[in-house]
This record gives sequence, C-alpha cells and structure tokens, in this order.
Amino acid sequence: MTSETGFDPRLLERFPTAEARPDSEVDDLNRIWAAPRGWRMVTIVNNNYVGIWYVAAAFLFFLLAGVLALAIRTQLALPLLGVLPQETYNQFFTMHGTLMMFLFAVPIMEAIGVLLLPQMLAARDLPFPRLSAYAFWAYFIGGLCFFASIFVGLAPNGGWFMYPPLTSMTYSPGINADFWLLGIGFIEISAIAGAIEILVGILKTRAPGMTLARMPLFAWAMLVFAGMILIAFPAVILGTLLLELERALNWPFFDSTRGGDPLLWQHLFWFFGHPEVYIIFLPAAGLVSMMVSSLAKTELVGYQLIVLAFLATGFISFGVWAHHMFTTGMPMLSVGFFSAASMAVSIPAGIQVFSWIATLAIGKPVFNTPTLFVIGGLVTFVIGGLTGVMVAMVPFDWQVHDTHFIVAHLHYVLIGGAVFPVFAAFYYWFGMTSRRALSERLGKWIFWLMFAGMHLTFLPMHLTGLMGMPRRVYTYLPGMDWEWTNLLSTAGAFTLAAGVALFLFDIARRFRFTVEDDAGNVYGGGTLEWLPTGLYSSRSIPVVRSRSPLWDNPALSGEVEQGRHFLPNSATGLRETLITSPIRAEPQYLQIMMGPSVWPLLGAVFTAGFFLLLTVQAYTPAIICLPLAILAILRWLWDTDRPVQQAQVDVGAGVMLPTYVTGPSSHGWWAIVCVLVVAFMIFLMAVFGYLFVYGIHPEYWVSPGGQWWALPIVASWAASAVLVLYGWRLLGRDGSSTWSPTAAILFACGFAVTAIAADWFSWRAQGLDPELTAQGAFSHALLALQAQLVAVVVLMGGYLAARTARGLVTRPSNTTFDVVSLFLLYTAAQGSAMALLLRFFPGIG
Amino acid sequence: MSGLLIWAAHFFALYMVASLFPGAALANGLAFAVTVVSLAVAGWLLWVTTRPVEAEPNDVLKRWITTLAAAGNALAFVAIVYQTVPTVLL
Repeated sequence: MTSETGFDPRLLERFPTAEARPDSEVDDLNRIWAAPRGWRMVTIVNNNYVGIWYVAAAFLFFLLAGVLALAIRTQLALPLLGVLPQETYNQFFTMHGTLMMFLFAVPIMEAIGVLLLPQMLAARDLPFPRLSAYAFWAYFIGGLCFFASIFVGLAPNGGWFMYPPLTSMTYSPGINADFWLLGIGFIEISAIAGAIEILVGILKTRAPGMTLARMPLFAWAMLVFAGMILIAFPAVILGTLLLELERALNWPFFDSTRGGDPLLWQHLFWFFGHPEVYIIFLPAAGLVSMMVSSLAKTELVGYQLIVLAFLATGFISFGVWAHHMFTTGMPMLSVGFFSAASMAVSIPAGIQVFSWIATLAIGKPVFNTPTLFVIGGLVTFVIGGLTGVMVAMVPFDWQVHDTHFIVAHLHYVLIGGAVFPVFAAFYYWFGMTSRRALSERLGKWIFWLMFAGMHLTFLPMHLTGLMGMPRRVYTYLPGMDWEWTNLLSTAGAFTLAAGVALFLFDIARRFRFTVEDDAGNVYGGGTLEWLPTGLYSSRSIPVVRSRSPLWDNPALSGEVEQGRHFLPNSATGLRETLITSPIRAEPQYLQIMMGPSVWPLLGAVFTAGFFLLLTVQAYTPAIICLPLAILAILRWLWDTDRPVQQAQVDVGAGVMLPTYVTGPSSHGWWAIVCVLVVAFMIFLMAVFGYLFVYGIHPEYWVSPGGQWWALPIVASWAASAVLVLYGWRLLGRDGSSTWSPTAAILFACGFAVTAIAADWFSWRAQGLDPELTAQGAFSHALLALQAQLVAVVVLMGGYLAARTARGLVTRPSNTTFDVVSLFLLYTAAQGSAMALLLRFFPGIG
Repeated sequence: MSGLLIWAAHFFALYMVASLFPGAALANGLAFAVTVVSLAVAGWLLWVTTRPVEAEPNDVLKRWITTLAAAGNALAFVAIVYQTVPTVLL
C-alpha cells in the first residue's frame, strides 16, 4: 500500500487495541489540560473556551449591527422622517455593513472553526493555541473599541467600502475614516492569524487514516476558506495602508490630479471584497453539507462534487471582482471577461445546491429546527443567486447598480448563504457545548419569524431598487412610489428582529456551557466531534476508516473512551497532539502544545492600543504600545520550540513517533510559509498598484536615474541570502569553530539593513517627492514596506541570538532557526525584486 | 487543482491583455491566442487525468484525487471557453 511519508500503513491495523487503558491516564489528561479558574480564565488558550468566546463575540457584533439596521429601516419607513440626522445615518449604514462583514460574517466562521475543527479532526487542539487566543482577544478588543466610535459621533461614514475621493482628507477631514482604516486593517491581521491556524490545523492535525477523501466537508470548506483569506485579505490591508498614508502624509495614491487614481482603491478593495463573500459562504456551505446528511439520515449525495465545488468557487471568485465596477468606464473587453466569470462562478454553487436537494430527496428528513433553517437558507440563497446572475449581465447592472436592488440581492445571498446556515449550526451543534439543548418548539417560531421577516424585508426591496431608489440615502421624497415597499421592508425587519430576540431568550434560558456533560448528539451526526470529550478533546485519537466513523462503527465511542486508539495518555506529561501528513493523514510526530498564558492577551491589548491610539492621534501612547506588544509576543514565543527529553515516544500499540521534527514536515514551517504568502500578496498588490497608476497617468512619471545603484543593493540582498544558507549548513554540523550559525544569521541581518539603507538613501537622492506624484508616493511606500520587513528581520535576529545564548537553538536543526531563515530569504528576494522594479521601470530615460 | 490554476492564469492573462490594449483589435487577437494555449494545456491535463491509473490499482485515495483533478480540469475547460466568449462578441 502506498505511503506518503514512509509510515507503514499496516501499523494502523493494530487499532483498536485489545486491552482498555488504565483510568489513571484520564486523570492525568484532565490535570494536564485543566483550564485556569477565576480571573485567570483570561489566560485560557484551549479551543473549547476560546471557540465559545469567539462565537459569542461574533454574535454580539451581529446583534449590534442588527440594531443599527433597525434604526436604518425606521428612518426609511416613510418619506422625510427625522429619526436619524443625515450624518448619523451615514455612520449607521457604514457601521452596519462594516460590523456585519468584518466583525460578524468572517469571524463567526473562524469562531465555529476554532470550536469545532479540533473535535471534528480528533485533534487535542489547534496547532497554535496561543495564536488562537491572541487572534480572539485582538478581534474582541479591537472590535469593541471600533464600535465605541459610534457613541462619540466618530464612526466611519463613507460606506462599508469607503471609496476615495469621498474618504480622502478633502471630503472626510475628521478621524472617522481613520477609525475604519486602522481598525479594520488591524482586525484583518487577526483574521489572517486565525486562517493560518486553521489551514495548518486541517492539513497537519487530522486523525490518522482521515485522508483527504474522508475529511469532513466543513474541514474542506475551511481549508479553502483559509487559503482564500491568505490570498485576498492582503489586498485590503495594502489598500487601507495606502489610504491612511494618503490621509496622514498627503501621498497621492488615489488622487488623479497628481497621478494617482481612485479606481485603484476599488480594484484593491474588491479584489478582497468579492472573495470575502465566498469566504463567508463556503464555511456555511460546509456546515450545511454536514448537517444535510445527518438531518436527512443518509450519506451526502456527491461528496466529491462538493469538494470540487469548494475548490472551483475558491478559484473563480478571484476572477469576478470588477463586477462591482461595471459602471466605472473600464474597457468593454475587460468588463466582458468579468461578466462571463461572474456567471461561471454560479456553476459550483449550483452543484452544491443540487447535491443538497438530492440528499434531502432520497433521505428521510424530519422538519426540525435545523432542517428548517437549512431549507430556508437554501431557498433564500437560490433566490439571491438568481438575482446575482441577473446583475452579472452588464446592461442590467448598469440600471440597478447602487440601487436597493443590489441591497436586496446581497442580503438574500448573505442571509440565505450564511446567517440561516449559522443558525442551523447553532441548533445542530448546540448539544456539543451546552448541558441543555435549545427548544424545538421555540426554534420553529424563531425560524418562521426570521424567514418571514427576511423575505418581507428584502423581497419588496428588489422593486424599490428597480423603481430607482438609490442606496445610502437617508430619506426620500413623497410621491416616488417608494413608500409602500419601504414600509413593508421596515415591518419585515422588525419581524426578523423578533425572531432573533426570541432566539436570544432561548439561549439565555438554555445555554449552560460545559465540556463533559453536554446534551449530546441530538441530531445523530456521524462525525468525530460527537465522540465523548473532555478539555483534552477525545480520550484517545481514533484511526479513521470512513467519512462517517460513528455511523459505520457504532462501537467507536466506547473504543476511544477506553483508550484503545492513538495517544490514550500524555506520553510526555505535557499537552500534546498528533501531527499527521496532509494527504493520507499518516502519523508523523508528536507535537508538544502550549498551555495557558497571559501573553497573548497582553499582546492583543497592546496591538489594539497601538492601532487605536494612532487613530485618535495619541501618538506618544501609541508609540509606547508598539514595543510592549512586540515584547508580549516575543515572551509568548519564548516558551515555544522546546524539545523534550524523550526523543521518541510510544503513542499507542507500540507505535513510536519523534517528539521534535523540523523542516518542511513541521507545522512551524507550514505556518511561516503561510505568513510569507501573505507578505508576497501584499507586495504583489503593491506592484499591481504601481503599474496600474503608471498605466492610467504615464504623463506624471519620470524615468528614474541612478540605475547603477541596483548592483550594490541586489548584491547586499544576495549576500544576506548566501549567509542564511551558510548558517543553515553550519547548524547541521556537530560544531563550528569560526562562526556560529546564529552569527551567520546576524551578519545576514546586517546585509539586509545595508541593502535597505542603500535603497532608501539612493532613492531619496533621485528627488522624487512622495507628496507630488503617485510615482513618488508608490516608490516610497514600497520602500517603507521593505523597511518594515527588515525591521522584523532585525527583531527576529535579536530573538534568535537571545535563544542561542540560552542554549535553546539545537543542532542539527531547529524550528526557530528555520523560521527566521525563511523570513530572511523571502525578504532578500522581495528586496531585490523591488530594487530592480523601481530603477528599471518605466525604463531608462 | 491543475485545471483551476490554468483557468486562473488564463483569466489574468485576458485581464492584462484587455487592460494593456484597451479597445484594440490586438487585444482580441492576443486573448484568442492565450485561450488556444490555455485550452490546449487544460485539454492535455484532462486527458492525463482521465487515463486509467496503472500503478497501485487498489489505491482508492489516489483514484479519488485523480477523479477530482479530472473533474476540475473539465470544469476549467468549460470556464475557459465561456470566458473567451466576450472576445467573439465584442
């Protein structure tokens, strides 16, 4: 039989073992995985707690955004109402959209992933528990502070997509826009951290035997979700950075009077913005795919087709962004391509819909609350998809762009494709974390109120839009024939709110958080999250032999509880989980995991402090927060990457695995590669912007002089890279007499600093003022991005030196050394590419 | 993911061509050429992934992955054809 890693697959046949394991091992697991109590709970990193907090925080933002929506609908119920003044209305609709898209829709999916995935994959936790905690606290603190801006009248007011020139200093002189730019930029960093965690977790911590073909569909969906975040989110991070630089320093990236272009913002934003909605939809589709099979009591029809649909959606969604820009005057041929792609992207969605319908048709569904939410979501999403294909037709879009038709369309796809599935998931998986299940009787009331309310709100809104009512208007004149449809929409909004309020009531009545004595598998699911669990996840990690292990082997729960599978105890006395290979899930090594710590919380507090204090122009406290955040993060990292005494341990049935692995098989390597993908995408987007503004306004460009500087600069970067490779080689030896490996890295850092300094000062000597032209602005922005990377490189070099001094950098290989080296190599490559681009484009004068 | 990667390359090539040569007949010509190449590659990939897997006939996972790849290549082929329609119409 084929092996991916050299692991003998026949070893899996030893499980389940014949004998049960001693109960004392369970006591050990409970002790090792125990969560702190009292005020020390803020140091918890365990996914059971962090996941629930994350879900609760995301739901809180959903409620807050919903209240804003009710205020908006109240204002629009009748013509010329004065419920909300104009400026407040602008802030309300901006915050409603921003909260829903950035602080609810994506985070709720990450949150559900953090909560469910370890159990679904039978891992003890996600691979970087402290990173999860940091991501949660950063999101929660940042989100609350961001929302608080509304109470002081400083909430962003330029729409959730914040187009310049409306949001440039000329038309938005206050700090409202800065709240959005800095707040959202920082929250997206938290989302990227979560995505890295999830991607590495899915590919490296699955139960043995859980090949890609046996992976739960939610895991597939989250895998594509995480990959899409790494590719898409850098575009909005760069965009927010550029717009903030324009506002703060007057660098004209989006000012067409100085060679910039406001359309650049739109390209950057929507390159993120359209994949964003599929980032929201795909996890929900994964949840629906899992629920549908359990609720219909049959295997899902078309598992492989749905996997194909996820992958295809992930790809094709990156090719449709400009369908948000059909009215901007782009070349017709480009517009045609985006129109075609926008229609093509409906094919994978259609595959999923038909698969779900087929599963429900051949199964025996009971119309309980989660089934109602699943079917209600399906119906609603399909209606939204139909209007989506309509607006993919360019002439039609020209009529309805920026009208309420689009508002109706987007709410149909997002409520049908995300909100209803999330509510279904609340009901379906509630028994996993609560002592009591939610009420079925109230659940049906909740569903019908929400379903009826949703359609009453948004179905008439199509007509409102077709009759010409624009978006983002705080009132309208009487006699436009918009009165009845608006009034119906407002009535619908309050009906929907009543359903949500009833849901909150039931949650308050019934939710009692627990890890062990939960309400159980109420709807009869067949996947591993329904194994009996404690804070250590399942007592032992089962060998998986099918897609629905609990259905195919009803004895599995008992086997796992008796410790008759992998890792029935803690082999090292520490928190551990199995690392397995990405395709065939063959056991590779035992990962030692981090326990509770206050440093992720402190890191999040100071990171939030840095960004938010910058927003309110409290520069001194902001500058103090930055090193504190860095110190907190370094202190948290300091405890990691510590090999244990036992080089190999028995993980069950005599299967021996190493406890420390470095190189491309290690989870740390995968994580840094993900970080570098993000860094590369930011660079790529910056290069796109650089070339784009040249293409639009070449008359503002001059051929740069001093091309000869490229030689010493690239030579410095090359020297840096060579020293990194040399350091790696030195580390592999038993000892080194002249240089230590870390010394080589430090010299490499020195060359990196030399390269960026030479680049910066030689470029400044060209005399291109960043305030005068977009070329000057972009070149300085690219240099600043590179300087940021070099600053991180210097920090990493210092950190590596400190670890070396304490004897923590082990030979012949070491994960920290690998991570620093990879980052340095990437920095050198990017620096070289950038130096050549700046000096040789647009050509020698 | 090979077919989908070809689709992505095809799409971004079309976008660059249309952006660099807006309104020019050259854009249509280049787009057509890019499409022919992309279809050739996607077609070849489809042929490769639909051939019987000779080694390890009992390797269920490998057959599953190959079938998935073939389906992806087929979908990419359709998407590439559809995406080129604007060059014919405009």
